[in-house]
Amino acid sequence: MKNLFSQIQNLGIETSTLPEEIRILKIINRLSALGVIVISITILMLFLTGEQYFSGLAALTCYPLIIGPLITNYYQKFTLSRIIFLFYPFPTIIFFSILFPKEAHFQYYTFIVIGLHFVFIDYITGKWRWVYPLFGLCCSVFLEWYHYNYIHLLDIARFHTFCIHISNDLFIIMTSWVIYYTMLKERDAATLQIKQKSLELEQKNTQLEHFAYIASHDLNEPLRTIHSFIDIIREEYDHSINQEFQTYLDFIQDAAERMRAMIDGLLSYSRIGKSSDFEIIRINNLLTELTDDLSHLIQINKVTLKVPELPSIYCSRLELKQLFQNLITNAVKFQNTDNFPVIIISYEEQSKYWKFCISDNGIGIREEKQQDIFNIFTKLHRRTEYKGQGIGLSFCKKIVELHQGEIWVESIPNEGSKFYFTISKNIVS
Amino acid sequence: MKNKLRNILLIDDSKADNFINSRIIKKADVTHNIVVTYGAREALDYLSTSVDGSFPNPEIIFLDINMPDMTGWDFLEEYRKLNDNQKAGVVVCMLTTSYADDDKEKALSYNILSDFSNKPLSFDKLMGIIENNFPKLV
Repeated sequence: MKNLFSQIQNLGIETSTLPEEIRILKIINRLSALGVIVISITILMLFLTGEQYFSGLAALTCYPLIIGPLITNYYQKFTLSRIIFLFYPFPTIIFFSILFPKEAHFQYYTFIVIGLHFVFIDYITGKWRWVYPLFGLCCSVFLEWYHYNYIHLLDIARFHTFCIHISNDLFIIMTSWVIYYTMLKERDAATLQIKQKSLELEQKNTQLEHFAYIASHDLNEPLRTIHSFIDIIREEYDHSINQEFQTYLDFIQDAAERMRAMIDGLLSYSRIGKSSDFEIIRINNLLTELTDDLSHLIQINKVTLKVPELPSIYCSRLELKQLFQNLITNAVKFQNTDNFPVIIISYEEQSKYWKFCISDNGIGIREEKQQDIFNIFTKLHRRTEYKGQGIGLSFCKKIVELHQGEIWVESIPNEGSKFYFTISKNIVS
Repeated sequence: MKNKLRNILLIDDSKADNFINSRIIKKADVTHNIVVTYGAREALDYLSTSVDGSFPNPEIIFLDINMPDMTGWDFLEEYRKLNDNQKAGVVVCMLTTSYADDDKEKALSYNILSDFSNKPLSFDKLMGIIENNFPKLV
């Protein structure tokens, strides 16, 4: 029985059928099968209770509508099956509605017709999609009008009207069930797919993080050897090292040193968020602590740091401190030598985020570079101008993303930069 | 240094690291003999092979953790099974900085290790280890 049902609902579906087609075919098949059952019972009932005449009429008109799509689907004539499904009902409904009494409820089929089109050909009709439902609605209004003004054409026994009424209502209810069922199935399938995809993504992400961690760890070993041997050379050949040799050694050491800094950066980058505890933090306390740590830097550069009353927010303490530290030290670092840094911190409470701004009067960033600066190892200046590996802002980005926010910059070259970042108020881990 | 150690065993797959470590140990002049091995198996063979009826029993083993085939952990697992007369005085675990914290915990769980040191070995680190474990020597 189950096998038969699945065979019927999969009529016409082949391995090459598109998913969108499969969906439509299935629903047409299900509705048609349902129609066959309901109408067969009705006709049988009419036939057995002595209305052979009507039962014959009903069979002649209804069966093409409900069996037609099944047959055409089986022969892969999908357009034809859809045409039958969409255009056959109108004359049939009108015909039966004016033939039988209002109590038989034939007129309510128009409501099914109004919705059917959205399920079947919505993606084809485009902007004409309202024409068909509108037609169905007109049909429904016309029938109401007809029943109000005229009497039905056929007189049948009250019992038979009742039978037809029951089977009609049953069909209408079952139709909506079939459509609900189909949609539910689709939704479940879609949810499952999303779940699988996100799981896959998560795994990939973990792999990637692990990869960065392992790579940077393993790169450290040969580098350490290089360092050790530079030291050994300096120690053992101290007396015989001439100026040129000294320069070469310096280059090697400098390069190795830079590589070590980059590897360390990569390693710390891959570790961000690995062991972060989220708690409610008073940002002002955090900044006081930070300015204490940076007091030397602030003093020698004569930095003016303006901090207003800031909120307490749910965040990872260590990481947020690093975020502020990187942005503040950047503001101090990227300055013209004759300028005293003025750094102003401000915030704004939004419905879903805390939005912070750190503005400075530094050298600014050209507009075309304002996106790139958040990538790891991106530097806009030569090493001799401004020191660094180009990792600070990539850390900031990763930290902000950990807090489900965004980071961006607004800047005018030679006037200053405003770094904005948002922290979600509802961090879901 | 008046009293020297008898024997120090180095276990590291890296030729360069072994070279650096033995160079520092030689310079510090703390032992009569340095034995260099390039893997855990070789080291275990060395420890369990008796020469003239006695086992080498090095006073210190410097053990690298990150090695191919048998890692430092695998070595410790096997070392545990050796007879007491085949074991060394002290096993020093050589850690790489990046893993140090995770590894320290793991290393402690073996109950064999007496000390840790971060790579690379330096003169100060070596003297520290000797001071900790052989106070009479210094």
